[in-house]
Amino acid sequence: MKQIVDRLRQEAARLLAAGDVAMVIGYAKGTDVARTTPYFATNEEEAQNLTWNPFCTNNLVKYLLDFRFEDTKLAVVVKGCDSKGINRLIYDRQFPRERVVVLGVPCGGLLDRSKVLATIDPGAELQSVEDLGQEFVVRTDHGEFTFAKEQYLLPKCAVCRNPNPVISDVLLGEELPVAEEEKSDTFDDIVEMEALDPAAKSAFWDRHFNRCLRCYACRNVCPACNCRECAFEQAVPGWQQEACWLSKKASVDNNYTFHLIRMFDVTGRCIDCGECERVCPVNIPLRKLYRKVIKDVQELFGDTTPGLNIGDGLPLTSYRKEDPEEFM
Amino acid sequence: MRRYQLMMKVLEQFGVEKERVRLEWISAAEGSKFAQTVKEFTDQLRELGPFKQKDEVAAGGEG
Repeated sequence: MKQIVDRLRQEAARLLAAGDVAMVIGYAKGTDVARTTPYFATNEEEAQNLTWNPFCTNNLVKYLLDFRFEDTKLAVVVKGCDSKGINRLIYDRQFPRERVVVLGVPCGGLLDRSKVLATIDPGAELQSVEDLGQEFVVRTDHGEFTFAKEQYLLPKCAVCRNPNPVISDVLLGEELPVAEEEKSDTFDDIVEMEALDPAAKSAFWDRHFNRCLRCYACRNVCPACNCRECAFEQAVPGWQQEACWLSKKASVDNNYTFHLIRMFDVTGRCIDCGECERVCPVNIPLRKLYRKVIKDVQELFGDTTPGLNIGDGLPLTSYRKEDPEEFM
Repeated sequence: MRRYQLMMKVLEQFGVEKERVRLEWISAAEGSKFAQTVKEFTDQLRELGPFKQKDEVAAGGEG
């Protein structure tokens, strides 16, 4: 992992010194041992603060959108999962390809912060992390710890399908091998969910949507949510200004409507990075919601997880003669 | 039309039975077809009874 960090700093410093990019968006040391923070390096010295370790959870692609109306060129660090977002933003014309340098990191998985903090003192100083394939060795000033990937990875990383970036200008490490049978998603979690009877499904989502605070953190962190003006944040709710079909009040009915609308809005654009679920303050299993749509779209129209290839079609705005037409 | 296909799947996931949603194509000139469809659908809904979602939340639900 040290080689990746060195390579990252070197590459970032080179890009900034040569004036190729105005800013490198990456990760830096966070406030405790198992945390990193998004970091915006604008000169060579700051580039030395950049880091890479299995606590780099944020999807930094979203930050590109903050600069979409400027003309500066940016570099951004992406993992395999995040890199799909770059493809989507380019294809949706949200960010031009020529204005972004993609620094891709082959990612061996991220560690579950809460599980790690049960072992390491949060105040410890992180010195280095070594990826040994099946386990991570984390060295701190409080000693050395070994975390087996099987037990300590984030749930999304335990079933990761694409550890290698799908798009990158500079690859900061060796590509990781992926077994052929692991390349396509089997949606085990969703199949399990689908097997429940209607009453149980309804009760499951009621229970979760009941807690939703409508804080919109899921929307704010989502690279697929890139409307300039959000339908949920108008002075008078409703596009017709009078038609208040969705109140700002957090109630089960309104929350259902909110999640249903967001679900349709990100159809064909949700890259399954899992950021929505990570930032949710009340732990709503949002990935289950969006993964269900990815699975349905795949079954109905044959489109795979969005962003895997640049130029993949938009499932809801295209049409084929073979489409099911059961009501016609 | 793809939206409708997807909508059916999504509602099913939320525990809304397929029989509670219907999409029909009726022209403004087809008054009797419209009346017939609405009658059929309301009969079907009456048979299904009220949507139970709320009661189950009150009872704690499962899952």
